[in-house]
Amino acid sequence: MAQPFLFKVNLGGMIDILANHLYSSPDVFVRELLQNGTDAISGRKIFDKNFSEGRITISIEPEKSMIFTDNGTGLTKEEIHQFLAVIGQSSKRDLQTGKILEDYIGRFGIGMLSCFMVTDEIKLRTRSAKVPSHAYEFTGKPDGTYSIIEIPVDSVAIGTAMYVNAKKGCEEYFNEDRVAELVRYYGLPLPFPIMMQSDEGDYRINEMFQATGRNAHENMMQLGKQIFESDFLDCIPLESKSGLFSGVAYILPHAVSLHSKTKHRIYLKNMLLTEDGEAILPKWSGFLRCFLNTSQLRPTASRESFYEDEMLEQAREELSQCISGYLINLSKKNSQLLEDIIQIHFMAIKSMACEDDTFFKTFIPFLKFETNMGELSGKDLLTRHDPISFTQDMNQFHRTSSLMLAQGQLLVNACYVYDASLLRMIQEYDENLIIYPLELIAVDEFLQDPSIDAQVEADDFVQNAKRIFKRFDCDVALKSFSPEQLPVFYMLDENAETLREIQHSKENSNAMFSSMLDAFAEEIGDHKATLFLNWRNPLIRRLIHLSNAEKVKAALEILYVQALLTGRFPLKGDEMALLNNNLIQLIEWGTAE
Amino acid sequence: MASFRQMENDFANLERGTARLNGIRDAIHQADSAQDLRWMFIFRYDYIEESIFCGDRYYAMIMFPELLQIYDEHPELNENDRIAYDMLIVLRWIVEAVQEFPQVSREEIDKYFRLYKRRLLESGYGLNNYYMKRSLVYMHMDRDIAILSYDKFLEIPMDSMSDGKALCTDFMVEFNLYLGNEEKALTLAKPILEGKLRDKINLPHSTQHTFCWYYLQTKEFEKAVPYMIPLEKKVDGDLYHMHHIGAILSLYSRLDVEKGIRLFNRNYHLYLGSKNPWLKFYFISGAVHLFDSMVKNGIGTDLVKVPESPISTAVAEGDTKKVAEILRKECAELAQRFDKRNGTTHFMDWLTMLDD
Repeated sequence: MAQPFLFKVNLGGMIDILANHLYSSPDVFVRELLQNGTDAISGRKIFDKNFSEGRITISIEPEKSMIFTDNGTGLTKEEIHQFLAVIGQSSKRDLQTGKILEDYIGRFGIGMLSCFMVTDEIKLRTRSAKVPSHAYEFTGKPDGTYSIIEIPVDSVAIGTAMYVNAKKGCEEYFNEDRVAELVRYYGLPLPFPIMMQSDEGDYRINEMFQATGRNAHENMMQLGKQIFESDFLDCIPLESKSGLFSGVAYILPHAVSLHSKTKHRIYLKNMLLTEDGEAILPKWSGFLRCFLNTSQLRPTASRESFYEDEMLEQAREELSQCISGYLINLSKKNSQLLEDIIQIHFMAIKSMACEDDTFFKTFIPFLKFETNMGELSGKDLLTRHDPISFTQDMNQFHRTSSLMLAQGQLLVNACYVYDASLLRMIQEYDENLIIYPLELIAVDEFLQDPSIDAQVEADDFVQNAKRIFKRFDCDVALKSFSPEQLPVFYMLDENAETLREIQHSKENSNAMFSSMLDAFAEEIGDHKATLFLNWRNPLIRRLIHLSNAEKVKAALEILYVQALLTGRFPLKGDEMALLNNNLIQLIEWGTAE
Repeated sequence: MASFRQMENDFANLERGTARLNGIRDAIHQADSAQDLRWMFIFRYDYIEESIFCGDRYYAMIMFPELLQIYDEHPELNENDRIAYDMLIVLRWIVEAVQEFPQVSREEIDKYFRLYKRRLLESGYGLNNYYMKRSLVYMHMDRDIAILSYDKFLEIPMDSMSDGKALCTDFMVEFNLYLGNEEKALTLAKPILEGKLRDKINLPHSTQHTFCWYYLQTKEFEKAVPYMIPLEKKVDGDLYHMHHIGAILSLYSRLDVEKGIRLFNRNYHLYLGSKNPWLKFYFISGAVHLFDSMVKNGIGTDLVKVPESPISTAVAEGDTKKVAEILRKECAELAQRFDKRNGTTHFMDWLTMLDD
């Protein structure tokens, strides 16, 4: 059998890994100390059920040193050898079963090493609650050596005191304000006092608000300002019925993109787990910043998120209920505030309304829609008796909105996220409303035929125009429509538009793709593009009676290209040539002597 | 006028799919008018990405030749590392999507793969992803090429052009099921199904779908249930996952016809609006299996609710058999086109796999 060998660990190398790869900043040594202190207090509570006065005390000599003291369980001499001197051995693991004990936060037994990022020596004085008759001083160095000496028991209380001296270049981390801020960041909800000893008197760093009582709301708002350094529109208490979480959600006073990542403070057992709420908060909650403490949820191995299980699902559901419940309540008690919130966070609210019938009924009267008649609310749409058409094509909206407005037709721009779904829901909500996509009707139905006399008068002109535009696969029709300033209106169906795109791609690509594009084009079924000439327009009326065929052709071709440009269609090569050639022709005519 | 950067940010406010494609198309025209090469490229990239992942891949196929031309005609774009990388990413999407269009011949598919291979090598990348895509695309065209490519995919180390580890694992699951190695596939799938290997767009539903697909073929319908239930939640109503919906419809034809009808009602409009023959085939084959089962069990069309379409008259008349016939005809036409192009019988086999 081959002789087994042991790995050797280079402690200096490990510290480098911690500092440069595992931890984002040397600041995290505060988190690790806090975590160890918290776990020591939990350990003492397990050992002594009557113990209820856990406390951490921090004392700082600016830019020089820090003493971090807890009155937790402390360590015996054996435990010092076992837990401090063996990397990866955590005192939070039950040595019999190997399992992590429930009340503990830390897991890997490497937290203390993080102190070496800011110090060249870790000194620890400890006295165990289990064996209070002995006390020890441990000194560890980054080269992997350590020593333990027994010290008088009256020199140290039960618990552990860490002495950390700033190493050169790390003085900045030994600053009272900075450490207090970090303690609040990592462990604000911790249920015992974390005290800072200061020349101006000791003070509690993790002072929490009173969630009940007369000033609860003000306290919560104050807390939000303190944590997120921002004012908010309002706050929403988050209390889980099943005890999975508690906290507050703050409503941002400004709009945020639907996909922007809002930073939260999400704690697990009172210690910060993540700023990313994606795993636990509803997908529409981007308008909130949450301060949330969870207790029973399981963290992932990386401790950056929650493990996906039924409990997380339940927490997600309850959080969603807390937030939606608040908003629904607001619609009854403070509709002005709800309107303000919707004005700013309409995307999030639309998303909610699409998700659930109750949300829909609550929010739809307040939601706004862009239409060719200006901005209309859901309430306006719900009380409308005339048909409502909508389009999901921004260009089509711009192309047809004025034309439809002139005929008194309402057109909703449903290009924005959730609008089309909401319109479908409005239709389902009230079956008497007539809501239909614009694609299902022909816009030319809104364009009137001119009188028979007019049609006869213009017939030759129209036939001539049909011949001119045949090569562009475009039909021509004479109609009478408002606004009369509009001489022509170009319209094509979806197939014709796709065909234009295929042709555009073929014109602008390598021959390798020709056969594929040809095959796509061949498969396009019936398609229709039409240039409508407006009988009411004075220019068109003049052109009908113009006898110079060359000038008529040039004018019609320019009007055709202008209609394409107005409709935001990209010009194909031959259409661009049409514009250029005719403009030059017009200039020549205009400047001819 | 808004800056191009602002326009790109604003796409996020547009509804995914048609509305966003239209919005990006407008941005393309504006960048073209301004002859801003960089944005001409970026907007086309955005358009293809949207078309691939949220809309209909048909539009990506139309836009891709333009993008490649712009890139090849302007060496200054080639010199930009980010753009050069993005060009390869688009090519990666396209070589996978190209099989979905029977309008593209076998020879042209081979050409696309040669193009992808050459561009990868010219840019100093390995061929791990090339062989993965080749194996994937040839699974139903040429089994030998698919297996050879799969072996090469396993042999060549992954690099930054490879799909992520999760997607590669998902593909390995699919390929092992293709080979009939159920046990190995289950082992490989474990970290994906447990959420340890993640991908925001495709997983774990792609893996769940693969097992549904497999148990449909082996007719072990009950074994598919644990995969089908979470899959349905994730893909219901999503054009991009219409083939997954089709597989669920096929399973419902044997497990719960009523639920199948409801799922069909909710998603048939996607089929009607799609220009992707491959997605359409897998959806409508599921519908064929469902309506066949309704005919067999004497179930009427009372629960069927469809918009104006080739089956709406038969549905209104309560003629389930006629509906099934119309759907089968549509599906068989698609299957024949694919099989003719591929030189195999995979699609027709899929359509008829549940026929008694």
